[in-house]
Amino acid sequence: MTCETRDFGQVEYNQNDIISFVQPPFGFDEYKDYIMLIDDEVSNSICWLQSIEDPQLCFILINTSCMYSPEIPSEVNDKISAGPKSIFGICVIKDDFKQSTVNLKSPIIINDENHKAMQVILAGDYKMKHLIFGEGV
Amino acid sequence: MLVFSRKKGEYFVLEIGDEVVKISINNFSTSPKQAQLGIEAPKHIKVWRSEIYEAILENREATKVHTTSPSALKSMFKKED
Repeated sequence: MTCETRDFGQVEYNQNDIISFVQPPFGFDEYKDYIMLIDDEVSNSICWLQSIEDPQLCFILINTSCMYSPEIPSEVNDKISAGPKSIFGICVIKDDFKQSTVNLKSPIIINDENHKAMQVILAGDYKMKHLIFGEGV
Repeated sequence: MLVFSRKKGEYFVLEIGDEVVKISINNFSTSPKQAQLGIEAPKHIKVWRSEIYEAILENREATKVHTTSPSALKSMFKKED
């Protein structure tokens, strides 16, 4: 299958590549299916979460495994099943890139095995605008 | 900010153009720390908890950024060898 993307032109993907949100990104309820894109020249911790339904809808994510390991809310296993999961923060990239932030308060959690996903709001005292290049968690 | 007191059975009305949103308070006896609000609004008026609304604003901002291409991001997020 192919789809148009915001930052990568037309790409090919398989059914298995689809990240399917059981609880879509807040405010984007109608967009449930995405693919993850990476770039060979960009750090492995960065990926593009591209909607396969709207070419213009794309989030830049950072894998937060090297930043924090928050307690995952109990509802997550109910909704996207047990098993290994990855936690990604949605980035806001600023023109002055040092001001770029990542949302650690409401990360996206993806089940590595079945590719089901959801955005959650963590109970802990994490920032929605955590400076990517400048502060500890 | 306007602060209202409401008795049982009374409610607030937000009148937005021709639209009417009714907000009532549902628990008068239970918790001193939490109030339960009942909100009755037309379907197209979105009602959010504040924490979700903040996440929505953050998500919207994230989709509106301009610097998103791999070629722009490769200098920010260098590939580790």
